[in-house]
Amino acid sequence: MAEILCPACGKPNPDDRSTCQFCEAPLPTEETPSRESPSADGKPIHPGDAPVRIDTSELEPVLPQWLREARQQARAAAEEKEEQPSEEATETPSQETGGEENKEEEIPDWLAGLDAQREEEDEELPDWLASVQADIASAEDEESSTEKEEPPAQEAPPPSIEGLELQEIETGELPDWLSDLQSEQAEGDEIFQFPTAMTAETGETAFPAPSSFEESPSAEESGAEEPLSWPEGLAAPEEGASPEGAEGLPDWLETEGASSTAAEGESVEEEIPAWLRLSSEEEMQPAVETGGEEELPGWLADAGAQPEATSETPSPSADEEKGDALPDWLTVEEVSAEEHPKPPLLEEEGETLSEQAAGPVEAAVSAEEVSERDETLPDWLSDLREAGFAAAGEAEEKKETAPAADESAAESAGEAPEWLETLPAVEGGRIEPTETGTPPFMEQPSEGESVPAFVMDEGELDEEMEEIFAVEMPDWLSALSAEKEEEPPEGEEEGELSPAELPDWVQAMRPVEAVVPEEPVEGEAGTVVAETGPLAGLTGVLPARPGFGPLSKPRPHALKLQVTRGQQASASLLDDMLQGETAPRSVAAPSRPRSRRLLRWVLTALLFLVLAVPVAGETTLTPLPALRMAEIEAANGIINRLPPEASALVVFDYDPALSAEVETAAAPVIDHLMVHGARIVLLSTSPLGSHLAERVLSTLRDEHGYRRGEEYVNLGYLAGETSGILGFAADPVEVLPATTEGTPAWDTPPLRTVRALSDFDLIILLTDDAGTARAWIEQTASYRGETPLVTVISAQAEPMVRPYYEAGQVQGMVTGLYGGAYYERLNGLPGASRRYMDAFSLGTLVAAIALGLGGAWSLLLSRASRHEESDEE
Amino acid sequence: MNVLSVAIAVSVGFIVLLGYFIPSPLLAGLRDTLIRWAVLLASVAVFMGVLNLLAVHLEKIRRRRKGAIYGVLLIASLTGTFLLGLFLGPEHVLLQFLFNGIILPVEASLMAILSVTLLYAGMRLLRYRSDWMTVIFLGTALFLLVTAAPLPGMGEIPVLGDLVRPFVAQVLATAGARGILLGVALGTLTTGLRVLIGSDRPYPYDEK
Repeated sequence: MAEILCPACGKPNPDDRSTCQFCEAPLPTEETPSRESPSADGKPIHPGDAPVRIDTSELEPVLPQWLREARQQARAAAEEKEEQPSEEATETPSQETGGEENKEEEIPDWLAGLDAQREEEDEELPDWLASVQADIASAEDEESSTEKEEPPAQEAPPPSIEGLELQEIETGELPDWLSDLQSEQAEGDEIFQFPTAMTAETGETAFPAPSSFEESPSAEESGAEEPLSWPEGLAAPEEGASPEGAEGLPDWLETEGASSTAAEGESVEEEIPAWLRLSSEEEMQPAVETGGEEELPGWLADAGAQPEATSETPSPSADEEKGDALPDWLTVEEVSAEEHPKPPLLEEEGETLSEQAAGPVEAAVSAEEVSERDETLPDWLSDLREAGFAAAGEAEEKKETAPAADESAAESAGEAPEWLETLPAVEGGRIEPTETGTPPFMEQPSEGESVPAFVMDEGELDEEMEEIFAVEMPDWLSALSAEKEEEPPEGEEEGELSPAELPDWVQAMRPVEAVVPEEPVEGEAGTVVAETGPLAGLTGVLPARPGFGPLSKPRPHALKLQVTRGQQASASLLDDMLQGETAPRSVAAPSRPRSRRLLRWVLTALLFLVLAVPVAGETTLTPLPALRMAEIEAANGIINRLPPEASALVVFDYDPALSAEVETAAAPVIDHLMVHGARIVLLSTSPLGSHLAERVLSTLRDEHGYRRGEEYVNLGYLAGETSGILGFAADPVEVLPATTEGTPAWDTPPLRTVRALSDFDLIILLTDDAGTARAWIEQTASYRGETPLVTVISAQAEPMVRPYYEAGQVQGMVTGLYGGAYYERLNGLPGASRRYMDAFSLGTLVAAIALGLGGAWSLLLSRASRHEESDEE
Repeated sequence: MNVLSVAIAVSVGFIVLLGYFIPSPLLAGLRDTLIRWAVLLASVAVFMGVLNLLAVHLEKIRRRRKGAIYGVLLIASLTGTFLLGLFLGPEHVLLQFLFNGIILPVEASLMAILSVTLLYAGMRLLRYRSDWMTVIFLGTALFLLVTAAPLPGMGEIPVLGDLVRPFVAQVLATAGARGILLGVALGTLTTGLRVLIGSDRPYPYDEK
């Protein structure tokens, strides 16, 4: 049992079901036509696929005789060409050969015979055409003499032909049957000596001139006086054409040829089909036969009425109305030409052939003659003739209603399109040239005119073509014509056509996957009408059925976490650990050392006792230092080498807290200066320095008779610390211009000979701070020159200042109480250092003992406490 | 404004620096002028500091905060000393008395208390930190105290006084001090360069 897959859910279903048993979706049936038209082999046509050539040999039995013969000749010619390719190449130019090859590739198979027909033209040329060619040859001499006298401006080619040539050169898609016509025209150019301007402007003939036509014996033997009308429309309107040649041409082309052979003889006319003669006579004698309109279909009647509208609204609208006159199936092709390029066949058919059909409108044929010829015409040609009469009647009516003043213009212009105005006036069966000597239709048309390739009116050509193809065309073309008359909807029209019967070029034009979905649309295959909801009544909506939504209610899921007891225990353990990490933990405060007040008081009392007793008792228990101290000796030597009344800068940069130590060390040095009579300049970078200096000098100045402003000067406070030191070193006069009393300092005796730092004989720095000592040493180094620098410092600053002494930047150094005592010993003058030496010695000794004992006791206590703590733990 | 202050600082620093390296009278004069301006600004800065201290304590007294009475004493002492020094001069006996009777004993007493406190702390240091470094520290202090001065009745301690102490005080301590000085010199150089290039701005600067 066959199964049908559901297009919605994809599940198999029995073939007897019309809807899916799973999702209730309608199942596709076998009768459901697919929108996708397969190709001949049943495969769909995809974008980019090259058209597949289809064997249309089965259609040949239904082709008309002339078409079958043409196809047969084409095959024979192709075989001949393959056998003698080299000969063809030598005889024909390469350009023509290439053009022909290209044309052969583009030949629709159903028109392939036309190409061969061109080559066998000479053999099959009818007598009437041969006579025409003979006439052309005879008239050539006459024309050549007149053309030489004509000015070049009058040799302008027929615009219709020129335009056609250019268009075909550009596109290169000319159908073969039209190429044949052009070839014949080119041949006619050589044979009939057409106006040279036809090819002079382009420089070459646009169409190949087959030699077969040129060597045609029938053309020479025919002796016809008038050229063929339809090639005349392309090239030479003067020459007539013999209708005898209509036998060798396709019937529908004979119509064109006969339309311009109005001046043909009666002998020739007998061989022409009646309908063709009718067309020729229509040119000479335009008659009105309105009775034919009743028999025509509506669209054909409209086409017949078109010339009237065309004459009312000149050429700009002619192109637009052209589409109205065409059958619908051709009209559709033209409309879609913007989207899909037209095949050359339809392009030329829609334009050139319709214009060919307009030719007979010019000829006037009486009603009697028409009735006589109707008997000899086949039915389809009779219809065609009637259609031509209808159009001619329309044109005649228009001409009659025109004003009398415009009659002369109407004669040349007629009621046909304006480009037909250029056609020669047919009077007495001959086409009369215009004043310029060139055929009227060869003159340059005005701007906006539609210039057809052929002289036939497009509407009438359409009508004739429709009649011809409706009767004798293959079945598929007949079907198209029938559809056009019935004007069915597009969908039905496509459905009736069998894809396998379409020519390959039509297949290439069919919609393909890019625009047609592969699967049938739900709304079209089985129209879905919404029954409920806000879209009720609308078609083409997505059905709310299985396959488009959830099939069932979603199964509820438990929100409870599925874990085992072991996992829960692990999670809780991890949680406890994290909480334990983040919980604040009480830290045992370190035991604060309790101050042992008694011990402190004991120590204070001990130190007071040790220090006070020696000072108060002025004991000399401690001997003076016996070790040699070079820096102190250097300082002493510098002072000893000072000249009399030397200027010594003494800087007091120490704090009162350490004044006892520094002053004790500095006292022997300053005393030494005063002994040598040096003039002392006091300076300080500390706000209290000047007071300290006065305090030190106050004890010594009276002893040595020093007076303020005479033997010593106090410059006071030097602000700016390092910057102040640098500024003073750079320019002491500007930085500290006055003394602490406000008097000019640099005019006093100590500073009278000093204008720079290097002018001082000695610089003595008293400081308890290593930083201050470093600033003075470094900032004054470049300004001191040869002036020695001696530092009197506290014992705590010695490690920092000694490097400068050892580096030579400090020439002498006295350190602390020990150094002062040593300096006093060098001077031989005991001073304060000696008084404080016992207190200092006993004090340091007591402190050392206390520190040792106390440290040892603390260490024992610490060990004991640790043992206790370890025991407690 | 920020750009202006940075430009001034950098340009002045470079001018003073170039004044030392390039023996040009123009640069030297410009350098000395800038240095004098710095000294004047430093003096003004001290005066401004005094005014700021006065303003703080006046505000403290006006709001009658805790310890406002010390503010009253500070302002009274400052004003009295300033006026005496302004009108009598720093060498006046009254000012010398104030200095010798108040400032000097107070600071000396603080130093005395410090010595007792340091001794007491040294004695109990091993009570709370009994490691080797503490022992070395206390041992070094003890050694220097013992060898700092000749012992009464005994004089210099043999070997310790004439060999070990000079070695400790002049070699070990000097070596450490030189290392410190080198570090200070490099720090000063780096600071100077940072100020010169504007990376370090010790002056008021709006960081926004």
